[in-house]
Amino acid sequence: MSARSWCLAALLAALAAGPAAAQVVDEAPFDCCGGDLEHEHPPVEERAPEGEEEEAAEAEPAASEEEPAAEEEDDDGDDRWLAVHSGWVHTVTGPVLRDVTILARDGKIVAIGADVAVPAGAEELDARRFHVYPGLVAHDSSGLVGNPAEDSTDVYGLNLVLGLSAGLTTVGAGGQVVKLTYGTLEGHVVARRQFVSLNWSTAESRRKLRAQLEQVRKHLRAKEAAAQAKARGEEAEEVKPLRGHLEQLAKLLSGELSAQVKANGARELSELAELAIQYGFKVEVLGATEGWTVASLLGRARCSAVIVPRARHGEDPRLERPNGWTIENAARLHEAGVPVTIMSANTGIGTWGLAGHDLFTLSLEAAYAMRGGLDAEAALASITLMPARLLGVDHRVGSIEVGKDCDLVIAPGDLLDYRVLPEWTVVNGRIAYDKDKETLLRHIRPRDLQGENLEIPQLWPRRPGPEPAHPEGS
Amino acid sequence: MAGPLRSATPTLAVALALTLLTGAARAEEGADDLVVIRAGAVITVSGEELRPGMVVIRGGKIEAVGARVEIPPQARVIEASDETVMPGLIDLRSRFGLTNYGRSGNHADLDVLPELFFRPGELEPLLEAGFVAVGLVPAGRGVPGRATVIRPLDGPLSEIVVPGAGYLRITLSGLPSDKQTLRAAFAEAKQSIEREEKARKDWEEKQKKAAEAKKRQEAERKKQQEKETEQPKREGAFAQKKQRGAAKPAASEPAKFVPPPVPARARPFVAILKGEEQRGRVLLELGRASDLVHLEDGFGRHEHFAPLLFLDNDEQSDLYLGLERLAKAPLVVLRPRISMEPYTATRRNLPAELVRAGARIAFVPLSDGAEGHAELLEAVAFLVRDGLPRAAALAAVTLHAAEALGLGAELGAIEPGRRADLTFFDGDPLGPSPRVSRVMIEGELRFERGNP
Repeated sequence: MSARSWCLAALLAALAAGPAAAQVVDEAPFDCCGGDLEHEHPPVEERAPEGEEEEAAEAEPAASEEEPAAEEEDDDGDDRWLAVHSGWVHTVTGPVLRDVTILARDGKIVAIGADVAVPAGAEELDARRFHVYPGLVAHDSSGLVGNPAEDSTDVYGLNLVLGLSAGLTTVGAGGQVVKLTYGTLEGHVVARRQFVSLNWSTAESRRKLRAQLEQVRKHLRAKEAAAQAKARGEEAEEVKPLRGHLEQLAKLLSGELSAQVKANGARELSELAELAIQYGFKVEVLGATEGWTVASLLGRARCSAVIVPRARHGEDPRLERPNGWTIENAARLHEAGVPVTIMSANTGIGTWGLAGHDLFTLSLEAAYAMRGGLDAEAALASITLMPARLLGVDHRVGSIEVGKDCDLVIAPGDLLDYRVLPEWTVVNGRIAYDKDKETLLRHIRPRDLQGENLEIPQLWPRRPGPEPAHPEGS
Repeated sequence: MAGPLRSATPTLAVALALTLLTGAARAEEGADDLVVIRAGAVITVSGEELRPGMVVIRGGKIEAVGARVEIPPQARVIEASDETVMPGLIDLRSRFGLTNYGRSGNHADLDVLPELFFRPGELEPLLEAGFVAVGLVPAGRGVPGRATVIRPLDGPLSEIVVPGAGYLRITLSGLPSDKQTLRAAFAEAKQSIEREEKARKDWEEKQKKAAEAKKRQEAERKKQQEKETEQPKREGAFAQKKQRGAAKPAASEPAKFVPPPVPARARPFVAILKGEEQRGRVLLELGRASDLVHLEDGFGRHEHFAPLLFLDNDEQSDLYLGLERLAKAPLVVLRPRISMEPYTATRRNLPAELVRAGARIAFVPLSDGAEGHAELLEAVAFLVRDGLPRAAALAAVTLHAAEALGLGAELGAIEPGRRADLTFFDGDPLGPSPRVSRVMIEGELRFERGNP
C-alpha cells in the first residue's frame, strides 16, 4: 500500500469517527467563529475548493470506496510530505479546528484531521501549542518579488524574508500573482492577472469614461444583433472589432474582466457605484476612505473595497453630510455586504518599516479595522481569502482546505494581536521561514524549543491562578 | 655613394653570422636542453610536497620529479636549495591591462583578441607576481564572448596567446535581461540543431529515393538490354537516349551531406547542447545565491550544460546559502575573501566551506590590477589560516585554474610530461610574506629577482 493511500485510509477513519475525532475549539480568541457555525461543520475538511476538480477526483475514490488502496498514476514514490500538528487551525472558510494535523503532499493539503496517519519520511512540524492560519495575501506589493518574477526575484532576498516574517505568502505584484517561495522558484508565479484600470479621478476623465462605455455598449449590442440576424439566416453588417482600451472595456462589460478604480470621496464612490449598476460590471475600489457613508450603495453595486484602515482623511466641517475618515470604515462596509480587502498604506516592505505603514504590519492593519468594529472572522478574511479572490487565486490560497496549497502562518497566539510574530511560515508545503533560525526577529519573545514557556507574557492585568492560560494573546 | 654601402655590408654580414650562431646554439640546446632544479622544496600540487626536491626538465617539459633524482651529465643545474618551487600561478579570469569597454547581449562568436595591445614590459608585473598564464575575458553582460589565455611575455601576440585555451564567458545577475539573453541563445542553438537534423533526414530520404530510382533504372536497363538483344537495332538508339536522360538527376546529387549554416554566435551553444567538451566550456558568473536557484529551477537544465561557476563573492555575500548546489558544480571559481552574511556580523569562509562540502575551487585575485596579482597568495594564506585546507588552496591557484582554461593536462602541476612553467619562492608560498624569486616558462627562466 502506498504512503498516500495509507493516509487516505486514515482520513476515512477520521471521517467515520466524526466530531469526536477532531474537536472543535470552544473558545476561540476574540470569538473568531460564531458558536452555531462551529458544530455544523464536519471537523475534517473534505470538500475541495472550486476549480480544483483534479484534487477532488483524487481524494474522493479513496473516501467513497471501501478499499483505500486505490493507486494513483502519478505516485512516483518521492513525494514531499509535510505534517503540521496544529493546536488551532483557523480555516477562514470553516470553523476553528482544535488539535488536528494538516498533511500536505507536494505542496497541496491532502488531509486535515485528528487521526491523520503521517507517512514515513514526512517532515513534521510540532505546532500543538500554536495557532495556524492560511498564509496572508497582499493585494499589491512592490519590492518583494521581481518583475518578471521568474527571472528576477531574489529568492533569498531580505524583502522576501521580511514578507514571510510578517506572515505573507502570496502577493500581487503588477500584473502577476507571486508566492514568496524562499530558496526556490518552484511554484513561484501563481498567475498572471488582468484587470481594467479606470480613471475616475477628474470630472473630465469621468465624462470620457461614460462616453466610452456608451460607445462600447452600442458596439456590443450591434454585435449581438448581428449574431442574432446571422442565426436567423438574414444578412447582417460586419461589426468592426474594438481596439486598445475600448477592447478592454468590452471585456469589462461582458464580464470577462473586472475594473480597478481609485476612488475615495463619497460622491466619486456613489457615482461609480451607480455606473457599475448601470453597466453591470464588477468594480474593485481602491481607497474608499469615505466608503462608510455610501456603504449600502457600494454593496448593491457589488463593489469590492481595498481599504487602508489607517489612511486618514480629515473631515470637512462645511459639508452637510457625513464625510472624512473613520476607524469604522471596514466594519460599515462589511456590514453592508461589501467584500473588504485590507492593505497597508505603503505597498513595499523594509526593515525601516518595523512600526510603520508597510506590508510588514499588514496584520495590524486588519487588527485596526477590528478595533473599529469589524468582526475577527472578517478581519482575518480581509487579509487572506478576500485579496485571494480579487487576485483570482482563491482556488489555491486564502484558506486552509483540502486541495488548496499548503501555505500557512503559524503563530503563538492570535495573529491579529500586536504582540504576536509568526514563528513559522509555510509556502507550498515547505517551511519558508523559521523565526528561530532567522536573525531578524528571533530575539523578540524567543521561542522555547522545549515548549515550556510559550505564552506571551501577560503585562497587565496579571492573570490570576497558578497555571498560565493557553497562549491566546487576550 | 659606394662608401656607405661598402661599410654597411660587413656589419650586416656580422649580424647575420651572429644570429645564425645564436640560433644554432639555441637549436643545439633545444635538442637536449637538460635542466635540473635542485630546490629546497617542491610543491607538486598533484602529489606530495618534497623537501628537498629535484625537477628534471628536457626541452621545456618536465621529465622527472623526485626527492633525489640522478643528475644526468651535461645537465645545467639551477641551484635553488633555499627556495620553494611550485607550478606557475594561473589567473583564469582577468581584465588586466584592458579598458572598461563592455558589450551586452549574445556575442558568443567574439573574443577578447581585438582588445589586446600590450606595451613592452606591460605584462611584467604578472611575471613578477609569479603568474605563467592569464585568462583575459571580454567585459560586459550576457554573453560577451570567449576568454583568451596569454602568457606574460614580451613579443608579438602570436607568441603570447595560448591557442585553443579559454572558455565562453556568461553572466547571470539579478537582471532579467541576462536570463533572457541566455534563454534566447539556447533556443537559437536548439533551433539550429533541429534544422540540421531535419536537413539530414531530408537528405537521407533523398539519397534513399535516388538509390531506389537508380536500382529501378538499372533493372529497366537490364530489361531493355535483354529486349535489345531480342529486338532489332532500330529501337536501340532511342532507348539509349532515354536512358541517358533519366540517369542525369541521380548523378547530380551531392555525395556528402552539407549541413545548413549555423549562425556564428549559436555555434558555441550548439557545442554545449551536443556535449562537445572542449568547445562547450563555459564560465558562468553569478552574483548571489538566488542566481543559482534561477539557473537550476529556471532554465539552466540542459543535458550537457554543466558550467564552471564564477562567484562574485563580495564583502557581504549570501552565496553560502547555495552551498549544496555549488558543491555539485564541476568547478567553483571565486575570490579569496572572507565575507559577512548580509546584514549581520557573521563571518563566512566560503572557500573553506565549499571545500568541506566537496567542491573543487579555483581562485582569482581580489582585483584585476598588478596589486591584486601580487597579493593573491597573501589573501589565500589568510584563508588557509582560517581553515581552508592547504592542498586545496594550492590547487586553487594552479591546477584547477589550468583545468578551467582547458590546460589541465599541460599546466598546473609538477608532473612528468607537463610544461615546465614554474614559480620559485624564497620561502613558503603560503607563508606570511611570500616573495617570487624566479619564474620559469617552458624551461626558460623569464624572471629572476636581483639581490636587494
